[in-house]
Amino acid sequence: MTATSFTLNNPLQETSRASGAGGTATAAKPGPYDDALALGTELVSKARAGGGTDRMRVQHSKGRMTVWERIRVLTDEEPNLYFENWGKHLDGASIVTGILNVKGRDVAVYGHDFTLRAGSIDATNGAKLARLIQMAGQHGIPLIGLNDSAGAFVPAGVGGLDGYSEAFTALRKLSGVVPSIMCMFGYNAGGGAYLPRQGSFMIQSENTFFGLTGPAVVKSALGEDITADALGGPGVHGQSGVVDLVTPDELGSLRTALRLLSYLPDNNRSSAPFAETSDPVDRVVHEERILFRNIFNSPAGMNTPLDITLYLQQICDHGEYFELQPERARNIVTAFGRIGGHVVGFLANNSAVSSGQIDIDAAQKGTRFVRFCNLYNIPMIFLEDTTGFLPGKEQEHRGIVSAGRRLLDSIIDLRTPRITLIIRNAFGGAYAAYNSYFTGADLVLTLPTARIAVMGPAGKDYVYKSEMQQIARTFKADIEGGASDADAAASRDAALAKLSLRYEAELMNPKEALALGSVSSVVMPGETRQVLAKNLSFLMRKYRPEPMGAPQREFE
Amino acid sequence: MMLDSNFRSQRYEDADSEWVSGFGLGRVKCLIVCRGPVRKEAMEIFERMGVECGMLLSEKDSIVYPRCLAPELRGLEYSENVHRVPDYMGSGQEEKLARILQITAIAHDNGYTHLFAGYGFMAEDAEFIRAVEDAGIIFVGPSSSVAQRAGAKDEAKKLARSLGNSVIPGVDNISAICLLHKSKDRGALEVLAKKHSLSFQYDDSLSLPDNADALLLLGYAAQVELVTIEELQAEAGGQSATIWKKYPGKRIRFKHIGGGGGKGQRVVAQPGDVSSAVMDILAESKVVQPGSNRNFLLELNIEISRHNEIQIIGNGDWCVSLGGRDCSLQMHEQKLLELSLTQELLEAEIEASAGLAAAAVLKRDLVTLQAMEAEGERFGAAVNLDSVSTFECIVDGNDHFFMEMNTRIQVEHGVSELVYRLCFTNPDDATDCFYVDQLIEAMVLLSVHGSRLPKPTRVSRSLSGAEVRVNATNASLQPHAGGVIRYWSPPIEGEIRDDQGIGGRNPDTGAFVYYNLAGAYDSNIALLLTDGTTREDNLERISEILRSTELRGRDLETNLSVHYGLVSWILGHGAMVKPTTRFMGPYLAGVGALQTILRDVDLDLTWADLLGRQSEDSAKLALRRQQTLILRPLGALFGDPHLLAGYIGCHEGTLWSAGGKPKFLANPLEVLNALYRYLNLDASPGKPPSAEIWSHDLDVLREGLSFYSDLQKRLGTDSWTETEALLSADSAPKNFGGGAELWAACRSAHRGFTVAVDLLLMVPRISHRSEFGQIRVDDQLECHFPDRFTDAEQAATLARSLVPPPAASSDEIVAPTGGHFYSREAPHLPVLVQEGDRFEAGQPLFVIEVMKMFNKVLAPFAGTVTRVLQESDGTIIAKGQTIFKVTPDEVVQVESLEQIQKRRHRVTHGLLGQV
Repeated sequence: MTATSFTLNNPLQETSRASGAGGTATAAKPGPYDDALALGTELVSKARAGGGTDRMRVQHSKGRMTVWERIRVLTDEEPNLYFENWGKHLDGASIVTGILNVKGRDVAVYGHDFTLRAGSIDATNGAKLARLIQMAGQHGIPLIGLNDSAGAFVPAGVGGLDGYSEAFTALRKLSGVVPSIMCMFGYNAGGGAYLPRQGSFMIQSENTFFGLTGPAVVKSALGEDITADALGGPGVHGQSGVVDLVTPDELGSLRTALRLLSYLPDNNRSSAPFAETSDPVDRVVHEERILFRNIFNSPAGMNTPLDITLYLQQICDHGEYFELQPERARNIVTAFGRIGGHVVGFLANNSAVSSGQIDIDAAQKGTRFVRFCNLYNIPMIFLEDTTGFLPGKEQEHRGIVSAGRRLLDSIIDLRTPRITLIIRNAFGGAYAAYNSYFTGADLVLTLPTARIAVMGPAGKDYVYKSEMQQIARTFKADIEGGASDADAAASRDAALAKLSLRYEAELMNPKEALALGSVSSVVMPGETRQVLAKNLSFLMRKYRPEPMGAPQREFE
Repeated sequence: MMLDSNFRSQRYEDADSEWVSGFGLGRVKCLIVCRGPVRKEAMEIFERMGVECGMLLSEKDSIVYPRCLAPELRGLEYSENVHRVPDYMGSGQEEKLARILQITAIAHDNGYTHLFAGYGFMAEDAEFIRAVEDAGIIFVGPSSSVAQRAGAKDEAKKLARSLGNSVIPGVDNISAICLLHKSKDRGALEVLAKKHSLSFQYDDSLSLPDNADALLLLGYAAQVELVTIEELQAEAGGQSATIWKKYPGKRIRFKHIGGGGGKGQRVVAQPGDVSSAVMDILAESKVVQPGSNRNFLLELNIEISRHNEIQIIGNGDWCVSLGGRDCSLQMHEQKLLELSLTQELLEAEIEASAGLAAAAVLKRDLVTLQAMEAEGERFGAAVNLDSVSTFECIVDGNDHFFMEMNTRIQVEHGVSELVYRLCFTNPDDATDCFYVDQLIEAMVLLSVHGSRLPKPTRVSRSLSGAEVRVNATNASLQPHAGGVIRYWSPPIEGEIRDDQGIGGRNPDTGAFVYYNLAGAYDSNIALLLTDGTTREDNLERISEILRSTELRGRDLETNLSVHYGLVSWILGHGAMVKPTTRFMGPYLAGVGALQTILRDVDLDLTWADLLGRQSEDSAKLALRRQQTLILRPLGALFGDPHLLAGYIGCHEGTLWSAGGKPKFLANPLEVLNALYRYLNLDASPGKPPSAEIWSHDLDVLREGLSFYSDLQKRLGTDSWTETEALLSADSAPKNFGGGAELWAACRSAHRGFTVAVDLLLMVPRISHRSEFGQIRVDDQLECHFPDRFTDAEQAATLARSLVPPPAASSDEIVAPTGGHFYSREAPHLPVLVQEGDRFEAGQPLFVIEVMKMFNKVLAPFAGTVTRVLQESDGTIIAKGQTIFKVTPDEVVQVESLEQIQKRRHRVTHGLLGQV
C-alpha cells in the first residue's frame, strides 16, 4: 500500500468474518465431498453474479434495473429458475429463464441480463430461451419477457443468428397458444426488436429504444441524423402501434404488465380470470341515461360526438376498463373490462375522435384486438357508433380496402361469445362488417337512438330519386319563370332540407333493422349493463374455452 | 364514534348508562350534499354511528370525464341512496335556486331527516339553510339564523365590536358618517328625505347610522346625491388620522364596496395621498356620477400577518373553544400547512425554550391565543352558535383582529380533533360521561339532541396536530389539471389520509383504480394529517409521511415535494418558527433561485472533471466504485428544486457549514446516508428495487459508515473536524494502536471515501450562490429573506423558472397547460385576439380555465396572428396544443446547443471546488 493509495474498505473491521457458519460441523479433514460442495457453491453463486458489480453499476448508472431486480418487482416469491449455468462460461449465458408465482398464477419469465455481454443472443442461449418458451406452451402458462438486449453477440458469428432463429420459431409457435407480455427496457436492436414483437403485447417505457437498427447504422447507411428516441422511442412506437402501452419508467412497465395479465387467460384452452364482483349487475345505471340525454339533447343533437369511454365506465364492474393502444387511432377504442366478473374485450367506435370513422390505423388496431380475443376465448362486445370507413385518396392509396377487409374478416372469424350494441350510427359497410348477425354475432342489440341505414343523410339522393328530380325540375322552372337565382335557390334548399328531415325521420332509426331481424331488441338507456351482463353470463355458461380448430384462411 | 370513559367506542344506544343511551341517533337518515375529502370522511363516520346516509352525485363525478367516477361509489352500501344532480351547486343565482329546490325535493322524497353540507359553498349559505329548514329537514351545521348573523362580514364586525372584541380599526359606513355630519338626527334625516322626495321611514329598531344607510340606499335608487365626493374625501382624511394616531407608520386600505380583483382598491401611506386615493377608487369603480353608491371600506392595512383561527362549538346556550389553528402558510388563496395552536402546546414549548428569546415570544403568543379563544367563545355565544364554526383572526405581532366567522366545519377541522376531544358529563352524576372525538359526530349529535347536551369540557389528546393539503398543482403551486393517478402507496402507521376514497382499491380485484384529476373542482386531492408529542415531533411525522408517499401517474403534478421541502426547511429552522401569510411568495422565489442554477448543472460533466483530476489509479478506481452511490441521489436532488430546498433547509448548519467556503461537519458517508434517507431511496423491505439504494452502493455506504464509526471510536472523538485534522498527520495519534501500517490503511480508506466529496459540496455551494441559504429565522422566530426574493419583480422572475413554458416553435402560440379554452374574458366581451391581429409581448391572448381558475395566457413575444386553430369556447385543450399560428415581429433567438453547453460548462465548473 503506497502512501497515497485510495481504498474503500474498513481496515478496522475484525478480519475474522465468520466462516463456515452453516450449522453442520466441518469435517476435520476436507475430502472429495468437500471439493464437490465447493464446486456446487461456486456454480450456484456464479449464476446470480451476472457480469459483476462493475457491470451492474453501469446498468444502474443508466437508471435501469438489473434483470434480478425487475423480477423482484413482478413477485415477492423466489423465482424458480432453470439452466442457470448454461453456456460455456457457466454463467447462464446472459439470459435468465424460469417460472414465477404471480399472485398464485404460474407465469413463465425470461429476461436478458444486460450485465453479461450486453444481454446478447449468442450461439447457445437462443436455445435456452426457446426451451423456456416451449415450456410455457407445454404447460399453458403465460409468458412475460423482460427485454434488454443489444442483439446478436457478434463474436459468436452465425451462431448468434441461429440462436435468434430458434427463439423466433419457438415464440411464433407459442403465439395463439399462450399469451405473452413483452416489456421493452434498455436499448434493443435487430432481433432484439423482432423477437418481442412476436409476443401478444408490448410495453415500452420512456428512455428506451428498440428498432431494426440503431441511429448509428441509420447515419452510416442513409446519412440521416436522428436520436434513438426519435427513431424508436415510445413516442414513435406508441403512435405506430408497434407497442401497445407506454409507461414513464421500468417500474411503470412492470406494474402495467401485471395489470394487463389480470385480464389474460393462461392459455388458449381456458377462460380469462373471473373476478366475482360486488358491483350489482342488476342496477339501473342512471348515469348512462344522463350521459345520453346530455349528448343527444345538446345543441348539436344527434351529431354530437360521444367519448365512448364515458359509456364504458358506466357499464364495467366498478367503472374499470383497461385500454390498449390508447395513444393512437382512438377513433376505435380497444379495451378489456369486466361485466359481472367476466373479462370482456370491447371494440368501440369513438365518435369523439375523427367522428369515429374507421381509417386504416383504426382498422389495424381493431383487427389485432379481435384476433387476440378470438384466440384466447375472450368474449367481445362491439359498441357501434360510426358513419363508416374513412373515404379519400390518402386512405385508398394506403390500402384501406385491405385494412378494412382484415377487420371484417377478423370479426367473421370470431368464435367467442359476441354481442353488438348499436349506440347511434350504423351505416353502410361499417354496419355490415361490425359484428352484425350475418357475420356471426350471437346477439345484436340497439339503443333507441340508433340510426341504422345504408347511408347517412346523403342517402336521400338515392331513396327519394323522384322527389329529388322534382325539386330539380321546379328549380329550373322557377328560373325560367323569371324568379331570381337567389329566390329559386332558396326555395330549392328549403325543399332539400325538408327531404333530409324526412329521410332522418323515416329511415335513420332502428325500425327497419328490427323488422328484418337484423337487430334483436331495443335496450333502453340505463339498462344496458343489466342486459349485457345477463346475455354475457348466458353465453359464457354455454361456451367451452378451447383452442382454435378452424382451417387457416388465405389472409390473416 | 362515541367513546365510553375507557375510550372504547360504542353506539349510544348500547351504552350502559341510561343517560348516555338517551343520545341515541335512532332513525336519523342523512343526505350528504357536498363532495371532496369531507364526503368520504362523513360517510365513514355515519356508518360507524349506524346512521344511514345518502350522497349527491354530480355529472362531473360520473359522466363528464373518463376515469373520474366518484371513488366513494366503490364501497357504497346503499346504491339507491345516490342522487344525481348536474352539479353540486349552481353557477349563478338562478341555477343555485333551482339546485336548492332539487336538493330539498330529493331529501323530502327519500325520507332524509338530516342534511350535511360539509365545507361546500352551500354550508354557510343562509338562503340554502333556510330552505332546508323550511322543508322540515334538519341541517347538520349552524342554523340559518347563525349563518345570517355571523356570515355577513360587516354585520359580524359590528357585533364583534359591540362585544369588545378586537377588530381591525376602520369604518365600513363612511357615507353614512358623512351624511350624519350634515343631518345629525332623525328629524334632520326626515327633512332631507322630504326635500328629495324619497319615501323614507325612520326605523326605530335600527341605529341612527343604519337609518342613515337606509336613506342613502333610497338616494342611490333615485340617483339623488346626498353625500359628495369632497365630503367623503374630507371624512376619509379624518378617519385615517385617527388610525394613524394609534398605529403610526402603518398603511390604510381603501376599498370600494363594489371593488375586487385589485380594482377599486388603494393602500395609502400618508395623509397627502388620501384625497387622490378616494378619487381613484371611485373612478375605477365607475361611481363618480352623482347619486352612485360610493360607500367604501377604510381600514388599517395589515402588512405582515399570521392567520390564526379558533375552532368553536356550541349548542345555542353554551359555546366552547377547541383551541386554535395556525394557517399562515398559504399561497394563491390555498392553505398548505395547518398546525394546531393550543395553550397546552404553547406552555410546553415555552418550557422547552426556557432561557431563549423565543420563550418571551411564545409567552406573548399564549396571551394572544387566550384572548382569541375567549373572544371566540363570547362571539359564538352571542350568535347562539348551535353547531361548529371557526372564529378567524389575523395576528400582527401581539395584535390580533377578528376577521370573520365561518359558520361551517372547515377543511382543517381534523387538526383540532387531534389535540382535543369533547367530554360530556351527566349533570346529575359526575362519573357518568362520554367522549366525542370527531367534530362531524358532534355536529350530528348537536343537530339531534341540541339543547339536551350539557356544556362539554375539552380534554387534551396529543399536544400537536398538523395537516397538509395535497393539491394538483405544479412546482410554482399553479393548478395542473388532467393528471391521472396510477398508484398511491398505502398510508403508513399514524397517517390519517382523507383522500375521497381515491386510494381505495377495486373491491373485486384489489387493483389500484386509475383516477383522473380532470380539473372540474378546486385542486385539492387529499388531506394528510398526523399528530405528535411536540410541534417538532409532529412535523417530523408529517415529513415521514411525505417522504414515504409514492404517488405516481401520467401527466401528474402534485404539491407533495413542495410540502416535503417546506416541512423539512421548517424542521431545520425550528419547528416553532412563525412564517407569515406572505412567506410562500419569497420562499418560492428562493426555490426558483435554486432552479436557475440547477438547470445548468451537468452532473456527467462534474464526474468527468473529477475523474480527470485523479492521477492515482487507485483513486480512479475508488471514484468509479462510488459513481452511482453519489450521482444517483444528487441527480434526484437536483431534479427537483423543492427537494433541494428542503435538504438545504434541514441540514445546512448541521451537516455542513453555511457560507461561501462550505465545509462538512460530518463524514461524507453520513451526509450521503442522510441524503438517501431524505430522498426515500434508503433500503427498506417491500420497496421496488428502483426505489431504493442499489445493493452495491449500500455495501460501500455501510463499509464507509462502519469505518468512520470505528475510527472515531478509536480516536475518541465525535467531531468530524477533529477527525479530519488527525487524519492529516502522517503518524497515528498516541494509543491508536495497530502500528503504522494500520494508520496508513486508515488514511487510504479516508482518501477513498472522501475522493468524491467535492461533488457533495455542490449542495452548499448552490445554497450559497442562490442565496437560498441566506433565508434565516431570527430569535423572535420571524423569517427574513434576501431582498431579491421579496422584490416583486425579481421574485416573479425567479418563481417562473420553476415552471418553464412548454417548447414552442416561434411561429405558434401553444397552451401552457391543459384546461378549458376561452377566447374571451367573459361571454359578453369580444375575443381577445383574432386572425390578422397584431399583439404585443405580455398582451393576453386567450384564457384557460384550470380547476375553476381563469388564467390569462400572455403573449411571450410580439407578433401577428396568422391563423386561429382553436375557436370554440369551453372545449378541453391539452398542454402544448397549438392555439394560434403567428408571425413573430422578430424571430425568437433560440440558444444554440453550443451556447447552452458553454453556459453549462461555466456554471458546472464554477460549482466545483478546484478547477
